[in-house]
Amino acid sequence: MKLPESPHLRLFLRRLALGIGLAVLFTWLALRQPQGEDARLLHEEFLAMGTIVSISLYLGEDQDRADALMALDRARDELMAYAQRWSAWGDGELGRLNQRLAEGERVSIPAALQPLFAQAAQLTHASGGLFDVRIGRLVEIWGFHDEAHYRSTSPDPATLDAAVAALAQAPMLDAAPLAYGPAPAVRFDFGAIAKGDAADRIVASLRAAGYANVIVNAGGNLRAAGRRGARAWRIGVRHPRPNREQRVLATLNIDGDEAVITSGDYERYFEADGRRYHHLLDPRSGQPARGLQAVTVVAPSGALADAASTAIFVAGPQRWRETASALGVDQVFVVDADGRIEVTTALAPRIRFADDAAVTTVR
Amino acid sequence: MNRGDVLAIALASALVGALYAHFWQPAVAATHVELRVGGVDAGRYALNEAREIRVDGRLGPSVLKIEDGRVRFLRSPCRNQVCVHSGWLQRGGDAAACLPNRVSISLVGGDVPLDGIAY
Repeated sequence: MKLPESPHLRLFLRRLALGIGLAVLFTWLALRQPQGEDARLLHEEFLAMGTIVSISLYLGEDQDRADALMALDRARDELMAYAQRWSAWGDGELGRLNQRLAEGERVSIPAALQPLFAQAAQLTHASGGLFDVRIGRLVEIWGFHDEAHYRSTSPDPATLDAAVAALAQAPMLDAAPLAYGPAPAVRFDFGAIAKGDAADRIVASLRAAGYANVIVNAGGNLRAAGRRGARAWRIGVRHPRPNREQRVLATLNIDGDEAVITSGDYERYFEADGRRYHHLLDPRSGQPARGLQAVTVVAPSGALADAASTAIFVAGPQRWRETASALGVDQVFVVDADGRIEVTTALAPRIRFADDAAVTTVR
Repeated sequence: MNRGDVLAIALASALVGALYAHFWQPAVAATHVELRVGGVDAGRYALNEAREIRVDGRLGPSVLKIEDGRVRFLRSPCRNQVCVHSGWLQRGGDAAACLPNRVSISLVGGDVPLDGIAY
């Protein structure tokens, strides 16, 4: 390139080049990849199972980012297949099973679905029916299965009562279910256990690929393994009635391998006539369970914590403790209708609540 | 300086200003004050409740005042009153101390960095 004749213009161009060079340098400084600790943290987020699923990985010293991203992609693909398989209203294995059930057939349960069916049957038995995967028809009547078309009024009582009565008459699941039905009133909905189970599977699959430090958040159903470098994973539990200053009700550290799962009346709900109608239905009445705002369970398995938090929520303020012990979970806290917290002795020492929270420790 | 210089300086300043506006983040308001006497933890108080705290140091009582999400040394039995003159503190990471009395405060929060939220 030929330099311009004018010395003024040449000086200007030199200074301009210097100025732009400095600006580029500062931009680079501001945007460059974080070094050290944070450079080893990988994060991916995607939509699945009607919610946002996020996975964070903390890489070991000798692990490569690109390899880890590929492992995350594989985990996402597995999760997509899992979501398809367990969708109650889709056209995967469970969706097709539900369709045949609705047509009055007796259905055999595909081998891939049997383990979670068996676990669900066991949890239904242990919870005295408070956790029940057969309630799909009730969920449908309330419209909680369809995020796009929430109701704004409670459903017709006659329709609901008939569905509740039909569910009470329908056969229970066998302990090791291979087949079910005929039971046209039943539609299986694994929504209260599948996200926890999915989180377990992602953790297991990433571990098998050599990634021991993982945190999976499947729509608020949190499952962690390992640690975040030099410190434990730090988990917050959402405040059931958040305000501007306070969005997190409690925090705890997870060092090892645990799930933290909350069931709350704020997740899917509508309000009508000054009442809140939420998605945690009592299978015995067909109505949203009353008396608690939220239940949080900390347990080694996501599937267990997920199902247990639902059953304990449905059990309500008077019976939550016996339901928890029947399900074999001892680290639990519940928030009652007035915002008061009860926490078990096993969880109390390791969890920290907001300063103004009214907390009672219970056996 | 000629017009070219002025233009170059103006362009560079504009770019720096734009980058600053884009990347600068406001300091986070603190939620708590942590209190230490002689380096030993002596309590933690939320900044959202107005109150006065009396804390006994080596020379005598220092008085802290919490109000409107901020905190300050109100009185201290030291000679130079540096702590009192530090005034109100309200951002995470802010600190003040009365060295003669061995009383120090530091502000923590807003949000604790969390790796995940269960909901």
